[in-house]
Amino acid sequence: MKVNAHFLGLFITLFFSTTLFAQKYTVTGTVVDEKGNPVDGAFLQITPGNYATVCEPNGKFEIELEENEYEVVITHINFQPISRRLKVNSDMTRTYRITSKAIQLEEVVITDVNERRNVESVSVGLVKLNAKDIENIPTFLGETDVIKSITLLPGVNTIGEGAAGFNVRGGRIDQNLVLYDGVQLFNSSHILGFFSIFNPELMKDFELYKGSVPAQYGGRASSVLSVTNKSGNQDGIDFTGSIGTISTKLTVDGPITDRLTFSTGVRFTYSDWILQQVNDLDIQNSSAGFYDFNARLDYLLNESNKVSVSYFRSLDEFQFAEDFGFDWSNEFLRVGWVSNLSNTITSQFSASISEYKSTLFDFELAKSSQVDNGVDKWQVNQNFLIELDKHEINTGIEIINNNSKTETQVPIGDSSIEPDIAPKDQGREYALYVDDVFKVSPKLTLSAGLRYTLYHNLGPAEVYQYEDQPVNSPIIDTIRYADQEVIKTYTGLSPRFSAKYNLGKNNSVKASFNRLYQFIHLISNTAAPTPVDIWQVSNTYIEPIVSNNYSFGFFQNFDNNNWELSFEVFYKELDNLVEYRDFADLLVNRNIETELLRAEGRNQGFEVFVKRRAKKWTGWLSYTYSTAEVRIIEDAINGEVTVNNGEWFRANYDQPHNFRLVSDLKLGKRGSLGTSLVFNSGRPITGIEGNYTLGALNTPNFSDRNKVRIPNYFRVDISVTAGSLFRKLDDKLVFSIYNLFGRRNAYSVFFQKPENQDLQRPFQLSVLGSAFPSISYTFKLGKP
Amino acid sequence: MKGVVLTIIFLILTFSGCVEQIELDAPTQGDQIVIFGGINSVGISEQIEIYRTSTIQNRVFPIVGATVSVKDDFGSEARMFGDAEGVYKFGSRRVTLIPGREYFIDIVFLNGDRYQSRPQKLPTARAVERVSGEFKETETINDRGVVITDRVLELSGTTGVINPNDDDFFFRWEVQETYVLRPTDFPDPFSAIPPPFYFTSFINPQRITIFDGEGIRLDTLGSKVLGVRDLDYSFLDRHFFTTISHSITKEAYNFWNQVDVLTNATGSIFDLPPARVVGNMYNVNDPDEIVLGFFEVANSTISRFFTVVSDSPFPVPESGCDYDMSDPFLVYPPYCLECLPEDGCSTNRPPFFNG
Repeated sequence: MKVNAHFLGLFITLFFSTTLFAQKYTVTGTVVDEKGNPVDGAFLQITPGNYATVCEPNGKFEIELEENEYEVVITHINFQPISRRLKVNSDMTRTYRITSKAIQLEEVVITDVNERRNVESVSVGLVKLNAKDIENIPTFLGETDVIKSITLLPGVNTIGEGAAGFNVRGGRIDQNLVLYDGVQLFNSSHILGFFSIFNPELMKDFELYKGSVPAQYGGRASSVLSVTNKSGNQDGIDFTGSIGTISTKLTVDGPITDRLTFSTGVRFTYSDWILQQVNDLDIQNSSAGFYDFNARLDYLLNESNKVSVSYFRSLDEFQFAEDFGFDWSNEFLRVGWVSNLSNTITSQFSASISEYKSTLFDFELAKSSQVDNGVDKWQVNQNFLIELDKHEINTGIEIINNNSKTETQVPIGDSSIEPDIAPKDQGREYALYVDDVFKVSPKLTLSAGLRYTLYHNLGPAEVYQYEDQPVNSPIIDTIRYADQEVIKTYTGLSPRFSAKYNLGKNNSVKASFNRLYQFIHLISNTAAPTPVDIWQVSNTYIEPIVSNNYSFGFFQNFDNNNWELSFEVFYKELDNLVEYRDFADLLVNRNIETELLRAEGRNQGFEVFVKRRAKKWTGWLSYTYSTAEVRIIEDAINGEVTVNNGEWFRANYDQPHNFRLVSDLKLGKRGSLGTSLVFNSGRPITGIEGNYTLGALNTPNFSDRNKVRIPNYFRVDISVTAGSLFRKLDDKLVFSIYNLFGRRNAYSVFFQKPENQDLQRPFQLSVLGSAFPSISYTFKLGKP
Repeated sequence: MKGVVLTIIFLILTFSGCVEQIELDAPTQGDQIVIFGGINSVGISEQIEIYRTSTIQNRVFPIVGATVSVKDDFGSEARMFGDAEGVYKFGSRRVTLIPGREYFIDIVFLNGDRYQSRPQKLPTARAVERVSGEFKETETINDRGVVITDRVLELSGTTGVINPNDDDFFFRWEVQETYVLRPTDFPDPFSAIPPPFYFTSFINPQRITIFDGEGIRLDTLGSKVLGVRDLDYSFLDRHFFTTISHSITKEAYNFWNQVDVLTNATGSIFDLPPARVVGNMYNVNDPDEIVLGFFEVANSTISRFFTVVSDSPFPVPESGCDYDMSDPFLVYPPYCLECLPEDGCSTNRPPFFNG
């Protein structure tokens, strides 16, 4: 092939070159791939004049051109074609970067991974990292973790160790669209949130959209986290294994035939032995375990078509003493087909089915019961990627069907609990979208998109009719709907707009506006989400959340892109948020709408981010100021039941000040020292303002909702990595200490009567009460 | 290598979650009005407490001199009269309670502030209790893993539901105990025997026992624990337990349920977020004022049960009141010496002790 390319290049050069009498200049240069490696055999066609040349094995080219302004089109069989302008008025040198088609075939639009992305990308608040980027961040129990890593980024929070999910720019955890190989997940946590279900050994990269969200994504009101797994490599079988304090991982990938590759991995835990070491009988009698399994096949039908099949399953089991327990599982099967219809049009099709199940076990004597719920989902997406000279267009259709499982409660053993059920709803979204990234000029890039969603709440269902609003109003009738009968319809038109303007070579300003609709809600009235929280689709009484997101940012690179600086401001307004009346009873409730209050929200803040990228030392420092406020909408409840008199109040995950420092310092050729520092303001809770007695009963008098803050959160972690311990292995040993200073950060604050006292006092629950060391060993067998 | 492993294990052993008491930067609020009490069809504990909270722990300011009237929707009313502690009770005349009628309380302070309760309809449903007791040993494990054994009398009740109108019903139970104690008979020139002391109080005052019968049509509710009483000297003589079964409104049930949620929080992440319990009282002139407490109207029944010392399979501890000439006066427990009304003590023999 190389010979052919050289021959072809020579032939074309000789054939098309002409001898002219005008002044000629020599243009030399290099064509490189996205990683900066030279590309052998790239073909350069230059017009006007029909000049052409082919790159040498070292990616170099040289051609003589007369003074003029040209268009250079660079093509290669394995790379996407690009077109660049070239003004020749002297001898000159140019470097052209082209992007691999193999990456394009991964069915997810990849933003160019380069050190200038923060300046050049049109997206505001886009973070893209790969497994390599996060592997040296100190981790809890030595487990590299996507979600724990993104909580070290500006604008991303979690309420503490062991809390599932994450909050982006003041958004709730259910406002994040979490995609795993394109499939939406409902619970991405293991062990109540200590880890996520993404196996880091299989992960290729992930993207987090905090600000501008492209139109191909929809259905959540705050952010998008898209995690993409690797497809099997074509060069040979690779084994990767990892043994850690709490889990073991094994992944294998490679070719089956010339066209078929596989990638599979399993991870399981053995955490019970740690629980046995804790000096607490309840914890010793507890258990926690999980596993996850991934499998993927990729088949190259021909040079233009590739199909893939992915399967994923995870299971968690958690039991606390003989009090209660949880099980939850995720499972999905996905089929994808990517087809290059032409040089400029790529078709990306995917279809998936998934199931999320969760179970609560309550072992309280005489009341022991099991409560099950979950969601069945299917999803189809057809996307067309159209790449023109100055346009990159994504357009397509997406259908998402969420069918919440009937919530059931059944007694266990001799329980006196009566079996009960609470039927749940089905919702289907039909979305059409188009999104265009338009390079107006070298300095100005615009991105404009539109997503239209038609949503149906579908039967079978019984819809209760209330005399007035569901809260504090009697049921006067019940309407029954047949299977697939439309109960309620909502529509949403979501404009997406963002713009980037380069002020200079190394800086730019960006702005964006998005309107996002969310048709599914996590019904959770506890401080931290639990696996038995209910996913409720929009229905007659629960309207879709609408959010308007505004972002503005300034981006600057220094020192040959070794330093990045950014400053971003954001404002978000939300309508139709679900809030809860005081003491809301949500478990197995057929009239759940009677416990819910409609609210509006507003989130605002800014982020400052400084990043150092160098061979010796990489890291970042960030500060985020962010507020999240909620207000019950008065007209929805006739003023009878409200919260804080209908005034604005802070959401229970609101943490205004957030500071992060992440550092990765190379130690010699094979080692590194990782450090991270995290500070968050304490989040709000409802506190006790005093006590009073009802007869002989001491009763706490609580404040308005979320009026008091728990103590601030502060944590420092370190890790030391030693690589290449054994000669023939690509291996590393990681020793890390999580919470180095052993600070007892408050996970939650609750109120109880101390021993021999009559009045309730605040108590702090610290999930990790001390420094927590861990060690893990990872090795890789296969091609170097 | 062995040293490294041991070091790691040692470090891991230091891992533990922990719970500790903290102080929050939450200003204490005082000066809030609390109005609490109720009326019921059996006339037990019919009273209204009115006071103002303070920022000082365990300190309240009783509201005295208020005009307190209980009224019904037919215009009948009866006054309650207060004492220096801000506790108001009916005088010689009390309001007649008729199921299906609505009652509310109207309070006017000396400064003119006026408070009322939202009307409460006296339920037609009633609970008739069959109470039994079982002496047993209970085991609990303290924080250090030590098993603690207690000997107790556990009171259980089976409830018959009388529901003439087939309404939703809501019940609340209280248990009052009355026992007799022979005070120390010190020698005196007249050989006078001091009269016995009768102590009456509610057991487990921090316990809330309620039942939500919304949508339920049952004649009988299964057995439930109504209270637990430690075995002590009070069981040396007849020991009466009076169960008061209140049939209350849905609003009252929700109030007690919310108080129960607050007072029995376990501190787990699954606890419902706490909130202020708002009852049915309001300031007529300033509806935005937060008024704590509740005015309850209950259709109640009582049932009584008693034990004697021979019922207990376990030895009953002595009271320590028997006179021993070798003991100085001060070694006798106070309850052996003096009968103070504030301790629920009376020398009047309750009528149910006859017979």
